[in-house]
Amino acid sequence: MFNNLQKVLRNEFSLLTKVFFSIFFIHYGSVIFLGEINSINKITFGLYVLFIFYILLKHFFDSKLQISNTLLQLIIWSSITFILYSFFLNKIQINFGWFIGDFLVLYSIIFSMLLGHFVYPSIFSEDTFEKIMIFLFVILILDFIYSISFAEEAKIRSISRLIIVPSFFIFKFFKTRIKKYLYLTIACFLMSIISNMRYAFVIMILMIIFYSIFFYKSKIFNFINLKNSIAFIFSSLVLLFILYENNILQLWSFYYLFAPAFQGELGIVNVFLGRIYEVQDAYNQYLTNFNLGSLFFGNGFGASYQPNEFMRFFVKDFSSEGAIYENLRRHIIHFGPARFFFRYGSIGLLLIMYIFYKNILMLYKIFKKNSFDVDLFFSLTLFLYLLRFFLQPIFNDIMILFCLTGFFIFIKTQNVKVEGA
Amino acid sequence: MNTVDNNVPTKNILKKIIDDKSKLFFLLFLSIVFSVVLNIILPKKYVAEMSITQSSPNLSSGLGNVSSIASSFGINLNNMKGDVFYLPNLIQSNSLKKSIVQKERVIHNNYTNLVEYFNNTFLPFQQLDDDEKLTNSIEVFSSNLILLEDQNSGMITVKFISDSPSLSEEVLNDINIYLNRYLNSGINLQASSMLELINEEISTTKSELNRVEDQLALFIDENRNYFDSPNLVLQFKRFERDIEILNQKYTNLIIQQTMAMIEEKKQLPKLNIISEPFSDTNPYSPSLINILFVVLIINLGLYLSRTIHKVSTFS
Repeated sequence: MFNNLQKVLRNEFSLLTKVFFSIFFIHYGSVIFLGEINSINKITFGLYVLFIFYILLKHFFDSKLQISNTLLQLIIWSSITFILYSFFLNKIQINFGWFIGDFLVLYSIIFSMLLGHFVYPSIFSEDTFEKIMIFLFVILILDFIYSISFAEEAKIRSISRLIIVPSFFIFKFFKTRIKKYLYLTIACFLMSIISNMRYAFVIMILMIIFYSIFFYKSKIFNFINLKNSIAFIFSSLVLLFILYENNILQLWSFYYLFAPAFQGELGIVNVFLGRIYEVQDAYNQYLTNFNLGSLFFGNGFGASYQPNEFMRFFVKDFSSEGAIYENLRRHIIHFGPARFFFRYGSIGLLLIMYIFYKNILMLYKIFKKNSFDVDLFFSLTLFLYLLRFFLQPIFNDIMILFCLTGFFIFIKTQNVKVEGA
Repeated sequence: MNTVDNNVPTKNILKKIIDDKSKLFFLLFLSIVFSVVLNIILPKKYVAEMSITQSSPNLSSGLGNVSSIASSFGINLNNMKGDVFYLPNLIQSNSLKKSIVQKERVIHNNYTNLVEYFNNTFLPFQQLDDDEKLTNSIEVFSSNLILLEDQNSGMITVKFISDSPSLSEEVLNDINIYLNRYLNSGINLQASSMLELINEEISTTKSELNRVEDQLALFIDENRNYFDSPNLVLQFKRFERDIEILNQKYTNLIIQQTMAMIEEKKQLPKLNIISEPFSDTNPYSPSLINILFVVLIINLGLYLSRTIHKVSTFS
């Protein structure tokens, strides 16, 4: 572990790999002191998109790639139409932060996919990748120590964004059987519990289950029988009872999802109702602005809506700060498909459906192929990230884009390895 | 003759762009110049703004005695909640818009109204009838009216955009006048409806009282020696009792009528002007930044498109 850290700190990587490292360092390092979403990581997200765009352009410049003239013209004019459409549709209530954010998110997904398809940056080699994971793990530990020691709220949000780290450790443990990865996995698992992040905890469980399914295959199906199931349920219930009786369970935010008397309702009901009302408000706004372009581009970059139903439900105090503009328009929609259709129309929806389709197809192929390689790691991690797509915005984080690039690298069988990158 | 090759080497495109970087700077310069020219040529729009809130009296406490009278009639006023008026709805109402667009005023030195002003067509065959003109002008008016509501403080900001700063301000003043007139008209006030109820009851009680008094007068006239007969005495007592009850009811209603009139005055919602209508003399639109953004995007598209076409032609 320390050898890897030394390599990170020494000058042992190519320039582009160092830039990747620097962006990750600033992006996730800022989370430790400035919170989950801050101005620094908003800037680094933009820089990351520009950076991968630069790598793509460099590749196009260096390679003998030929692209159809018609296709290029179509890309240019559809992009310009999309930008101008969004601008004119949202001109009255425009918030440039939202506009640029939405623009960057859409193009970051496209660039990440293209980067994976056309280029194979050396940072994605398993050896370098391990160094990144160690590096990110150190950031996670620092965030954990800082939050436990100084922060008022004992929630370590970065673990939800960096689920790629435990995923890598589980993958490596299954693959190599080296015990250090087991210890690192256990450390991550403990952090996901203590961090008080529901998503991270659920994903950790799912991660272990999925990797076990892929690794043990038939053995795991043999393991699921009546006796083992009863034993598992019984031991879980006993454990939960002990935790509940000792008031340990009550400290955990996961508990509030299912505990009554949280805002007068079940927490999980409130969470989902709020998200349904967001969709309803966005749909009303979509109908208000409906035109032919709405089918293709939705309400465009920077699209916002009046949170009428949402406000009626939560009465102001539950709205997340910063999500509401001064004239009381809301930008965020937690439910991913609605968010993408509202902001990017059928273009966005088809793009995300394509990613889902490719991801599930890849997982199926790997399962059939009976292999346990790095392509499984990227496919499974991307799948776990994509699960969050239904609950929260995810593509505004660089790690999922990084994972998306990795996934598309391994989708393509014949990749050109770019040594300099 | 050059032929267009459908497959273009990406290297050539990027090389062409890098080689022609002076053209890119020229394009930027040209876009800025074009945007400035457009900004000068395009018709200017000016915005006026005012901020208002509405102070509604507390209905349950304000109604006081009226509530008790209402309860004696089986009506529970305390269950009636919510504002009597919701200002944004009132401002967005067609009656307000109609009243403002039809108001005669001086616009650009012509004495006209907004209906004629908004339907000023240059082509003679585009003449519309009065209803169409009114509908069109209300639509134009609505598109130029911006309404923002701060749901924390309840402050409502009204903006109106037109091609003259004085017209924008004047329209906001008209909205202000209309709102004041509407709010003070007493329509929909609960105390007013109570007053109506009391007035109706007074009228009924008075006629009932008159009728019973007339019957009593007739009875005495027909039965001068009624005190000799126990039955007639009983009938007399009944008349006397009815008159006394009705008299008391009438007196109470008169008192309550006065109280309800006072309540009605107390209950009238008041429009608080936080910021008087004020017109910005700097144009609201066109905005140079917005024009530059649009021009730059289009020019960039044209430049890239042309570059790709050129590369494909010469490759």
